[in-house]
Amino acid sequence: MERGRVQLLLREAIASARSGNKAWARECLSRVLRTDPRNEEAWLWLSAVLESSEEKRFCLEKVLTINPNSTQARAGLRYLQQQGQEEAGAPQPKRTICPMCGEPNPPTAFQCANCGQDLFVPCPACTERVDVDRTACPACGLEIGDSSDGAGYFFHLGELYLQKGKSKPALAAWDKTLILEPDYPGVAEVAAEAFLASGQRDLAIQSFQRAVEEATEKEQRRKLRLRLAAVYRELKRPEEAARLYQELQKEDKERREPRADLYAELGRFYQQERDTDQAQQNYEMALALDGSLSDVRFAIAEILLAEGSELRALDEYRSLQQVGGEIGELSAARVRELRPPVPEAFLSRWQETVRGMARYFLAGLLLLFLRLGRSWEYIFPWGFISLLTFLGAGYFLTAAVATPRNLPTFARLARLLETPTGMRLRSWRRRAGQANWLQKFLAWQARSTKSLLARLRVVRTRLSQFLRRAVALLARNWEKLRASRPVRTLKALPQSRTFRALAALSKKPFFLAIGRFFRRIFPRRSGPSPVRRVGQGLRDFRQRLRERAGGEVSELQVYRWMAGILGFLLLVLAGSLILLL
Amino acid sequence: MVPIGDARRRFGFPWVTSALLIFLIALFILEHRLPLEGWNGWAQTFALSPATNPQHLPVTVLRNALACLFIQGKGWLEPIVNLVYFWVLGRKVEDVCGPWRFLLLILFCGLGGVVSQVLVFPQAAGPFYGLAGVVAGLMGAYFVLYQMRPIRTWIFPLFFVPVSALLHLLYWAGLEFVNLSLGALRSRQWAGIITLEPNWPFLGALFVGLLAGHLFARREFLYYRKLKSGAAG
Repeated sequence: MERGRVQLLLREAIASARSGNKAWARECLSRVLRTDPRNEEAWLWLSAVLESSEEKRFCLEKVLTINPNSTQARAGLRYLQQQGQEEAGAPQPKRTICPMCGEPNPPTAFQCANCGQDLFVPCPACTERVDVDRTACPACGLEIGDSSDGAGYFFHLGELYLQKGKSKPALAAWDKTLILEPDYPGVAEVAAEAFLASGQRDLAIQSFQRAVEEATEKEQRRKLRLRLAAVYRELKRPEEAARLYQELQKEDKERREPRADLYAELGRFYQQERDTDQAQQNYEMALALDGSLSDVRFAIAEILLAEGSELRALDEYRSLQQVGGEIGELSAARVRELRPPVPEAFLSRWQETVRGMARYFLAGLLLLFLRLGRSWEYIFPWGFISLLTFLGAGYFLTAAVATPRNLPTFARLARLLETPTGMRLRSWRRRAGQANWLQKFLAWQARSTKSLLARLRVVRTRLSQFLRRAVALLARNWEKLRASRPVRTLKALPQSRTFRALAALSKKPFFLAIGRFFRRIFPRRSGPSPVRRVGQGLRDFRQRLRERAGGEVSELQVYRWMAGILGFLLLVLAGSLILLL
Repeated sequence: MVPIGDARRRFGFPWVTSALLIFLIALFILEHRLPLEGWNGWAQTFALSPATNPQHLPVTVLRNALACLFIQGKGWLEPIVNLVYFWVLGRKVEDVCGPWRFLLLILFCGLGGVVSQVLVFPQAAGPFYGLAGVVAGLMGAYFVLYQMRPIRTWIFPLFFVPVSALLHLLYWAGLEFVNLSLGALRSRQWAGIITLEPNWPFLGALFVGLLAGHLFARREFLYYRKLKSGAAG
């Protein structure tokens, strides 16, 4: 049979199978297969028109032998197997319950057969489809919740959407919450936020107003009104915002309970209205009531900076640096901007050494003048020598304290000998075969430098060992001191009855009022208190000690110490020379 | 013409200036409350008398040289003007130098004034004292550090104008001269520097201030100044 006729027969069989004439289809297909036993399509269609499952399986297996990748044949075999299990009495797969109407649906269904509700939700984080019978997203693991909760499930879902900045799906989810449970608490409030995020201002305000009306607790009501005022402020409706602020302030006054959040909000309001004085006052009040409001502190710092009080602003920024987060980073950036770190190259330049030397020279000169008065003829030789000694002391002390780079260490001297110029000097005249004084001197210098370096290494090692021991001793004693009775007594003092009574007294309105009065006269000095600063310094010192205890002392540190000691000795010598002249 | 302030602070609170000012005011009040005999004895003990120097121990000379810087005498106008200048300039210079170096700086400036006085009039018999030396040194240091930066100034009765540091320097020199001459006319008994016609301590301290202002400045200040001028890399 030619190929065209086979195709015609196959088409005839497919048309018959689709129209329901299975017998004629079977006839046509068997003719086709007799002519072309490896026709994959014919075997597939034959499996569809045969009745018994064994025959169907035979056909599908034939398809797989011809084309092992046939997905249709595999799906068919799977279906047959599943059917076989069902017939053998295997357990039924779990049905998906619609969260809206409670209708059980087959697990493969996308929509509820009863109400048309989607049986999956897009994941708020990764937008992957998550079946409603799952409690978490299989792709990103985000916890979505149990759909059997009904209204609660959709409420939580809406909150998740809003957190991820998707206000429209959030609103749709809350709509479902309200359909399921019209009195579900808190929907109006969160919906207002979603409306606000999606730019529907009027709806947002309406929602807030509804939330305020619905709120039963006083505190919640106050919070919502404050938020509504903030929304008015953000939407540039200052009159309504001011009205709400006044009401809230009045209530707080009646209750004799000033609240930090209201003052912070007032500060923002005045800042938006460009009344920086009022804004600052309110911010300071908010901080006085609650010192942990880092955004308020940052706002104060910005105002101070704009006013020109750079130093106070810097204090605030520095204290905010420790807060971390976005505000911490912003503060760190501001500090860097206002006080760029002085580069090491600038610190260690030679002008700095000259400045340091000049300081000590000036001191010596003044001392000499005071000592000698008009008798200048006696300046030689000891006065002059002492001045030179002052100069030397200044050099070493400056090198030790400020410019360690300018200190000519022995290592640097040794390196100097290895430079091309040094090598050239050493080989000078050697070609002529004579050893001159310079050559001898250089050789001696190289030898002595090497031996000095070796000795210094020993000194360094010993010093580091000594330091390690000393630090360990210190640490041990420190721990002992911490565990001692007087320190424990001191630590327990804040828990004592007197302290507690004093603390309780300080919360009395009278003393609070006095505190506020003084705060107004002397605006708070920002940043941590001096006591805390000292504490921080001590902690840092201890940390450094602990680090040093395990580490090693560098060569540079040894040189700095030696230069410092030498400089100090020279200073004492020069001073004594002048005084004992 | 009284200076009342300057541009913003940069580094920290002027602890030394504040403490010294309180101390100086207390001393000023004390001096005015002392009876004349007590005051005379006090001045003899603590003020510097170059003529009697050789008889004293070096330590005593040094003590007197330092103590005479803070004794202000029984006048009114000059000490008060000096205190105002000390407060306005001292804060700025301390801000630049840091407390300890600022303390050293004012001691150097004062000692510079003392030295110039001793050098010019080694045989002067009268006791010698006054804050003028320190203030002159501060003037010099201020001028070196801030150059032509204006100082907010109150000119009687109600003018507030920025006046540059140089103009202040000149004005202050004139004021000192006039005051000292008036003082010389008023009393020749315990005038100390006041009785001497040329203001040598003033010049000496000014010279030391001009010389040491830059030496004692914080490195950060110098760096930021350089940065501002666009010279730092």
